[in-house]
Amino acid sequence: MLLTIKDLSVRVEGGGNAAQILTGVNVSVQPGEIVALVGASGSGKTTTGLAVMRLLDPGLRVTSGQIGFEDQPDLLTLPPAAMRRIRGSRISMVFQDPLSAFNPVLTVGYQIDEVFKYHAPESGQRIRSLTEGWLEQVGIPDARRVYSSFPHQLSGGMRQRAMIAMAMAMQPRLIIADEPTSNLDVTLQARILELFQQLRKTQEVSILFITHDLGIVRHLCDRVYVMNVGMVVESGKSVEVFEAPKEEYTQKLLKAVSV
Amino acid sequence: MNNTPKTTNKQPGLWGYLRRNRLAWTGVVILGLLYFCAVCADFVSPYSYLDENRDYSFCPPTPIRLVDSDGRWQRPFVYGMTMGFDRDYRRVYEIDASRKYPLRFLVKAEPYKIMGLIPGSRRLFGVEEPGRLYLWGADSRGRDLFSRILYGGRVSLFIGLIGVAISFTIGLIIGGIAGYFGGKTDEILMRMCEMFMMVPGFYLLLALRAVVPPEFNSVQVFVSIVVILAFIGWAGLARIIRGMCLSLREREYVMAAKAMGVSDFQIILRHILPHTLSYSIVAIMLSIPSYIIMESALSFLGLGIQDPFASWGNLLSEAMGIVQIKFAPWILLPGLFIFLSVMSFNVIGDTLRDYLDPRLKAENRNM
Amino acid sequence: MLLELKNIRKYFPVKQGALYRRREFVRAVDDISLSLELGENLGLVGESGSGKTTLGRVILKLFPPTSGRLYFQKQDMTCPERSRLRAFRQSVQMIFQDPFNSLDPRFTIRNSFNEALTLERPAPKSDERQRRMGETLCAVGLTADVLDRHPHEFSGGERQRIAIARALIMQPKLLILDEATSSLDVLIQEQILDYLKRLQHEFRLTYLFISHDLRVVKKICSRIAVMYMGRLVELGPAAAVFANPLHPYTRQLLTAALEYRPGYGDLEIDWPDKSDLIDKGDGHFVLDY
Repeated sequence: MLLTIKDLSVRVEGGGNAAQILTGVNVSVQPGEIVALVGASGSGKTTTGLAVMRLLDPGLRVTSGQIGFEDQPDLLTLPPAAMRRIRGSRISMVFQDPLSAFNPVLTVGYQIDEVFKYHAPESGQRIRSLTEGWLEQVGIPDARRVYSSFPHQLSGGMRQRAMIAMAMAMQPRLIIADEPTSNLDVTLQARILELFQQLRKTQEVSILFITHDLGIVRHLCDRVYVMNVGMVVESGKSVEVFEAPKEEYTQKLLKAVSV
Repeated sequence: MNNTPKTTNKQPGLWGYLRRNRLAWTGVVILGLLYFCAVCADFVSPYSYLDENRDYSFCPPTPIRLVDSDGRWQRPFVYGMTMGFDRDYRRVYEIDASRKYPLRFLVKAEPYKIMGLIPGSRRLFGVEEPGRLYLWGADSRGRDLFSRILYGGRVSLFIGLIGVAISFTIGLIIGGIAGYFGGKTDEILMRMCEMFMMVPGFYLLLALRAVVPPEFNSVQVFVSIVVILAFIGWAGLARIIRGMCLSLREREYVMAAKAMGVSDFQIILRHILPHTLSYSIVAIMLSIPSYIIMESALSFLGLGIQDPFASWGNLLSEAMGIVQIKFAPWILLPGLFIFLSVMSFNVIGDTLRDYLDPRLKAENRNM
Repeated sequence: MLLELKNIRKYFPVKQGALYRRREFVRAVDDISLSLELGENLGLVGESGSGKTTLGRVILKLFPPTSGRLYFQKQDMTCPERSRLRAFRQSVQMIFQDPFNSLDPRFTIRNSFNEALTLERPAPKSDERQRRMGETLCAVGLTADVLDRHPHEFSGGERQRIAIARALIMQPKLLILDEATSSLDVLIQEQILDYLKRLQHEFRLTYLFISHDLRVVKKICSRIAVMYMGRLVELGPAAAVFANPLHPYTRQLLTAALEYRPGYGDLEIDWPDKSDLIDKGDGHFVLDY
């Protein structure tokens, strides 16, 4: 088992009744799997993903739970320095809006280089060729030009690919993708989903895919966890959940994306 | 997209926020006091700004005493002062313990009208003639500095308000039109703006002041100074408002209004300019001090308010010589008031800006 | 025929430095001809950059077309005079994508409604206003106590419903929905679509549903027009286009949208000079490719 989230509960510091964001969430990801966290907005799926990376808002507190990853029994108890070594190299994240996830005043290449500089420092030349290699791997045809481009100079699809390159740079075991295609056009989305499938096959990376679109889940993901108001209400193999959704909430979600 | 209901929220948070911030609250209190005294100067001050007595030129402050020379407790009173000359022909004041003048409240005085409207004839406190109460000393003509400062506040404080009101209005209108219409209108208006901003403000001020006819009476001079100040001050605000309007006109509610057929004028007035308010209010708060200082500078140089009228700037002009400062240091006090009012406006403006900062908004509102 | 567009073009100049000498244009809308029948629901689909949003704004007369003509209720509306323009503006309303910003956040709901009502000639009196406000709010499932509140007090779905109510209060004939459901939660989307279907019936409205989300379009539209790079590439009954997409772009779009599979290779399209669509029978038209 690669990732095990056990009984995770998160609440807003000092809030009242509405402050419970997550309650007893259990999620697991095997090596080489693509697992989906699905739910409407406010269901807690993004919070779960951020909790794994320990990137929660400072106003949120984890009240219970363990997050096991690889040989680490609980990421939540790791000292910050150790967590930083894991972030970006063993687990990395792809965000929804690549324009705001990239620093607009630095070139894309420089920002991807930073990942190497922090985790696996080598000569500048070597790092640059590694970065360009990854840019090509994610399907960017003119890697050299994109390397020296600023985020706003690239199209939305290219930016998202660059962000995936940044996430893949250190060949992590797990990628957490938080609605990575929600801002993209449909045709671009299809290509990015294909990219994820490719990466899973060639790099043996697992993906925790957070989305509200059950259609993507059916197409891409092996297993799915359906979340509602901070709890996992249904889980199982994608195929099974789609054929026979047990919960009414899941049924509603399915109906919304049916054609 | 939140499905959680949000609480109704107007501006109650602002007052509370100001109160909690001690520095800002001090500023509010100080300004409140200063403006109150300026408006009610006739009542609060013991003397009119014209009331002079050459026997008491540069008289030092007369402290209010509670214990007389025999060590007995008395009602608050003031000793008389006699003027003499020392060997260097410099004035020297001695306390004459034989003359005691008790401090009286609600003293009857010459009738006046507060702000020309409310008549009155009593003053908050004072002493009977021929005693003189100089809380903060006297100026060269024996006029009470405390009273003159209070009256001077009228000019200095209100020039700030009126000047800002005028330039703010002009800046909003021009910035709003330029930003909303864009294109050629925008180009022309902004070039105009830049021309005004190019000219060094203070020199423009002096030049314009020179153009004011000498036979203007003081009130007219006051008005012309305000107009001149506003004239050079609108450009900076207009530029920023224009920038905000350029982006605001792309908002969907503006497009919706246009699509419904609302007239451009209505859209600018009701949809666009109100959204610049949060910036504008802060900009106003932070530009009032510069008006106060400009006026002080003008009056200090003798180009603004003239004697016998008081303004903090022209009160300070008495302090131009080193002799005066050495022997009558109290005439620097108007400077303290300029400092206090400018600081207060700045502090309140800063706090307002923090309060309205969108990032802090959520936290502040919940507090 | 409620609305007819003939050869509408909208080009935006791209400024070349301060000299403005060489004028290059972005062809946002490039020769579109379309017609809308009374009571139908036409879906205008395309991805970002296709020009569908610009076309919606041109129809709304937010900016004038570079060339082409627009007919509303058989009358030429390309350059109408004031009174006709006013009547047009009342009859054609738009619902925007962003529910947070389509209502002025500083206005109460009542103010927003009043702004619309004041534009009518003759302007209705206050008791009639109150009545109409109540009626439209009821039609979207809300009550009159929302009137004195501000937009930020409501959820996204509620705000969108209020925006719809504001559009309806002008008693329009044509409603243009510009990505009206795209910012909403998937479950709320369903709810809004239900309302839209019901309202279309109840008020005899005609919809121009602009969207990039083909699944939503499939649920609610009777006809579909597909736009790509400012041109109309396919037009036909929804069932026919979904079942049998003719243009290569449409095919790629549908595969990506419904099956999440990308098309293979880059799309090489031979753009014909004329924008006339070829009739393939049963109201299904396609651009020559």
